[in-house]
Amino acid sequence: MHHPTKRQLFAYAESLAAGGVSIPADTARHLAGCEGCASEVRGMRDSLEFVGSAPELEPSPELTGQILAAARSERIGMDTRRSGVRVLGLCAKGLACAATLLVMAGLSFRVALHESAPSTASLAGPPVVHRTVASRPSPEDIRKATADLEVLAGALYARSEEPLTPAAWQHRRAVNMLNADMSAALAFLKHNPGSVRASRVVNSCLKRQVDTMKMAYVEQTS
Amino acid sequence: MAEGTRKTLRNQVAGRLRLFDPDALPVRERSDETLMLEHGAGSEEAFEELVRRHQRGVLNYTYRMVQNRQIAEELTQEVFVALVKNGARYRPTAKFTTYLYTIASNIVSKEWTRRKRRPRFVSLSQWGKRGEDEFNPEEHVGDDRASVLASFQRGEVSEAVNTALRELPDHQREAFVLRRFQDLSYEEIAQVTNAPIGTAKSRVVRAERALRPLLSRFREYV
Repeated sequence: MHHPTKRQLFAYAESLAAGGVSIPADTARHLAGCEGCASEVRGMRDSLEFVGSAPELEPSPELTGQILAAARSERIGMDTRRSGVRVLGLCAKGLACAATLLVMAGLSFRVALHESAPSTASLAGPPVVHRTVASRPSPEDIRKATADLEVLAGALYARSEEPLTPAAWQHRRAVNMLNADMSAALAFLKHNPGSVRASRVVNSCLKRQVDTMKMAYVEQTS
Repeated sequence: MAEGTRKTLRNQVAGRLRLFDPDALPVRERSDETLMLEHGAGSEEAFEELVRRHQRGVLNYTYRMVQNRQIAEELTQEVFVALVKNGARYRPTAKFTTYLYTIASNIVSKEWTRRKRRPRFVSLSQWGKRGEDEFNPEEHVGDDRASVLASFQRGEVSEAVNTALRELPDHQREAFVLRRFQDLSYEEIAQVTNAPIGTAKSRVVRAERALRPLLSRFREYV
């Protein structure tokens, strides 16, 4: 006679202890004719039912309060740690902006020197350099955008104790994404100081960051 | 690559923002996974609902594992604090209960490691007061004077189960408790304990086999 495995007998005993919802027919047929297996299942069922009769612990009324209080203090601790990281992030942003300003100021100074020097080319027609300068963002633009950014960042992060709204999350993500673009452009500018395209990217990122942070501020304060 | 990452980020933001849809289900009707995502996005209400739903289950699991109510309550608190810490990183790749009991299992394992390093506590809720490490209920159940009988006469089925569970190896006890008390499927037990499903099943069957003689003796006194 082929006996069911222990696992099969246990599964059968479990289903009996659970009220016989789904009893395997093969095992049931075997048990009807095999006293050894039937007694094994009885033993299993008895111990499962005994274990099942053990009462459950009820959480004390204070437990919920304690859990919520511990969770709240953990959340505050995480916010404090995160705001520390934010301060570092702001410093990094400030340094990146300062580096941009230096690069742009250096470039403008060099271009201004070229412009002031008389040359035969300038008499022949509009110089190529002049067109390049016109399409490049001026240092004043960048300085203004950076100053706006600093003011807005200061105003926004001063309110960092308050929980962030979904819109604020989205704005923060957008600012971070722009920051990533700007860092890439700055890295490119470092190796190619004359790149107009990179300068434009930096300038447009700064402006878009200012716009996004303005929106975030308006939503946070309204 | 960068564009792909940005798209993923945008999708994540959009997904999380959808959770704040005012037309969404009331908190009590939302799934555990939805609540956990909302909690990750900063909703305290969602976290409170998760605590309300699962604190009892986690408390009973930790209680059966460490067999001391006070420590079980502390561990339950730790489990929910861990949910706060990991809330932002949560991804609903499996059932929430699997995730929850995996955290609980890790915390219980740490507690066992801590216990091995320090002198054993004496639980007021446990059987006899002397030599609990060497205590074997089978040797005492026939003795009217033994504390085991006195305790049992008070109808402490739960304590009897705890005492029997203490005789099991840790991994068998864990699999058995998750199956019989927390009603987890074998697939979930396998994930929580990081073992193959066959191993999880064998552990439960072996645990029952080891518990049976202890429980059958206790049962006679009920």
